[in-house]
Amino acid sequence: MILATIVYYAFSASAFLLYGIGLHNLISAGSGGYGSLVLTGTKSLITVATTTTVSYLIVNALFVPVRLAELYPLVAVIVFVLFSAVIEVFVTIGLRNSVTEFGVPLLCVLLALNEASSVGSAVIIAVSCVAAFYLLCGIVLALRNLFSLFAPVQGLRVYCLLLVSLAVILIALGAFNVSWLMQLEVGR
Amino acid sequence: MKDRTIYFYLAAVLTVVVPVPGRLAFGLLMVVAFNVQVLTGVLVGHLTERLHLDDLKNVIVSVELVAVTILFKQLVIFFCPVAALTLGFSFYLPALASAIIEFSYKYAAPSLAADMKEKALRNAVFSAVALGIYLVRDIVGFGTVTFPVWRRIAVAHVPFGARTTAAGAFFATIPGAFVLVAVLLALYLLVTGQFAVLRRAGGGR
Repeated sequence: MILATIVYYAFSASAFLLYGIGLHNLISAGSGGYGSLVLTGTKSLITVATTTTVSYLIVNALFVPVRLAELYPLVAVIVFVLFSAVIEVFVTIGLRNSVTEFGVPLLCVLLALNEASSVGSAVIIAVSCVAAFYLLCGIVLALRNLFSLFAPVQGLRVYCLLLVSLAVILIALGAFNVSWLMQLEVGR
Repeated sequence: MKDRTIYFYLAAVLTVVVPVPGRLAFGLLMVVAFNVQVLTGVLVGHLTERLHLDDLKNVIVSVELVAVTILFKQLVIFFCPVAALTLGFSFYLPALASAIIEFSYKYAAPSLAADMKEKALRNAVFSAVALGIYLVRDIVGFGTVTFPVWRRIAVAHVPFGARTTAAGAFFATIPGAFVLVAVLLALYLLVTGQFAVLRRAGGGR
């Protein structure tokens, strides 16, 4: 069950490609290199695991009984900011403070709180989503390095190639459920 | 168009258009949500500056954006529950997209009026582009044009029917949206490249 959840949120329903979390980060992905990716990834994983646990418990204990569960994003943002500030103190060496570190982990927390049925599954979903995001950031960085042979890395041309590559990756991940192929079959 | 602005449009399209189902009805709601988020974010951003709370600007704007999104989602649940159920989580994507936050609130003009005018113009251009992409995905992908109406989604079938556009269903999927955006970006680069050549040729005479 745990493995199925991890595989589903990390690959089948990739937070990056299917839910669109952090897609905009294509623009700045890998600007700091692989080292920066590992450091920000570690920080995000710790922040997300702690934020999800605390937010889930608060929402379940205080908001669900009074039927205000829809306010869970507000709780998540406030808890996230608090934990992020604390973790920043410990894991700040060598990292640039950037807004890009903020959006993705928080959206993963929201997704986990939205879809989980227990605190354990919420943490697993959030961590899987963040791990999938940084894994794909690594792939995007590798692709950018590869495409630098054909187009300038700083220009816009590289994004055309990147977008088509991401489409191919997404089709490969969802090869068993590609709706347009199924529709072609039905149309015959 | 300023060089950096195209990056904003690209980030916004990747956030507001690509991960959302390719229906114009959903596109309309997402575009309205995006505009409300950016414009209220600009207002609150300037308010924090007036109150000399610059250190807390990012936190206050983020909390405000989430609060506005919750309110907007509740209104959509009341107005068109089907759309709210389908979009659900997607409403939060532009609110917390760091690239949009950076472009919309970090590089702000000093006066509120000038800033609002600049952001409104940029949003108007983006809204037109985004709705155009949604319309193409809806027509080519499903053979329909959809609108959110009271408590349901209204569907108008295009004359040539969905059966003939079955292969076009690819463009209604997320990979199709990626390819569509890539094609549009390539066209934009081609056109701006041609204009640059013409400008250089005109300047050389």
